[in-house]
Amino acid sequence: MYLHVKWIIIISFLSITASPANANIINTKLSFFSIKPLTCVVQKIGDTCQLMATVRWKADIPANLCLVQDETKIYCWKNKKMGTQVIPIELKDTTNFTLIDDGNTVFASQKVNINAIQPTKTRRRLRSAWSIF
Amino acid sequence: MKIPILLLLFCSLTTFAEQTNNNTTIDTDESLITVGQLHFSVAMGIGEKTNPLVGGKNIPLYLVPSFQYYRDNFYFDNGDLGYTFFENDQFVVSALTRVNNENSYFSRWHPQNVFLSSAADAAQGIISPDNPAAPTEKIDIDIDIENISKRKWALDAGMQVNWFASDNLSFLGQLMHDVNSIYDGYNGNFKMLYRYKPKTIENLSIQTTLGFDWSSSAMVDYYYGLDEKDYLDYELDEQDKRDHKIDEKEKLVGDNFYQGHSSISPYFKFYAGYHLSKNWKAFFSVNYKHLGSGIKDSPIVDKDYTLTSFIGVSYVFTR
Repeated sequence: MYLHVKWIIIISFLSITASPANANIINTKLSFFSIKPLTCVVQKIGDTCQLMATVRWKADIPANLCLVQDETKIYCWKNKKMGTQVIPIELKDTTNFTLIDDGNTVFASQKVNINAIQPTKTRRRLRSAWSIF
Repeated sequence: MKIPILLLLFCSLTTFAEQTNNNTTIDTDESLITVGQLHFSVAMGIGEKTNPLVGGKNIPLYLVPSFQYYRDNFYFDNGDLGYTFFENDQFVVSALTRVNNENSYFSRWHPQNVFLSSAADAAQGIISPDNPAAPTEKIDIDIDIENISKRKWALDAGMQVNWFASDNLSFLGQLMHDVNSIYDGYNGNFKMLYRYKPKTIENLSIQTTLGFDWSSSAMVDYYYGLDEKDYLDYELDEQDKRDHKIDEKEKLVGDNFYQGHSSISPYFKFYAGYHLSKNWKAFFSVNYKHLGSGIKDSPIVDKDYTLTSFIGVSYVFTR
């Protein structure tokens, strides 16, 4: 069940397309891979970010590829040379998305960052970790 | 649980984790805490805290929760409720309150055959020298838990100063007083804490602590003393009565009173934690405390130390 929260999602339109250089393309068969947006902004750290991500990729030859979020396949393409898909995504932390084939070979990866409007404020702990032991 | 076995288990766990971790670096800095966020962790594993009381049952540790909640000034950290009214780069001064945990030993205390020796006491000069009939042989007197007055939980309040001398080295000093007048005394704590993160094993953090607990005579006397409020039951058989010519119950009981005096109990603690992931951590902790003479000399104490050890994993629900 989706939490209906009032997160403020700011979509970064700057340099949205991840070029082969910044998309860390591992296999030369893949010539293009991008995820938009690259940044999701929430009210405060720990809030869940819900966004519609646009995923695009292009390969030299048809391939079976899947988009993976935290080891979970969230969308797959069968025997395609290119793909474009808008996918609903939920994030709690900065997350790495990868494009893999049937043999789990990673073709490309891209991070989607989470930023918070309210900066995380920390202070020094006055007791040490597990000091109760 | 033997400490070498615990250490072996911990090393096995961390070695296994090291092999399966793909060299992922995880934020392991536990000296900082997010303000305004409830931090809840649960530790699961095997451990125990020894009970130094005669017949006292060791306290098993299997599932231990941990709560922290910090605001800008107010904080709650595993039973400590405090308010920080001064803080700079190196020093933090706070007022705090918490339940005194000395009574935890007594809540698990079920002595069955505690023997007080009036002969031994005579050798120590406790028995009046003007009593010509001072016993020369040991007479056993049972302390029955039903007849020992019940020790109560005290609520302490006081001050704490933290000195963060460097990123790795810090000191803590505390002075507390019971605000509900249970023992009408003071206790204090001073410790030096050194944190170490080996560069070769990034997810490992090690912490060593050296310190001491100080308890005022009033506090030691309340928990470890024996006096009129503790009715010492005893039985003398006819042979004892003939041999020792003691039939004054009050005298014998009085001879076995114990008045606690202020004590300093030094301790050493070692902690090693290995972050398996962002939320999971394997850790090992051992804490040895040598009891001060005012405590260990009490007839109801038969060990001069406490040892707390634990090995297991912890899961943090918010991070």
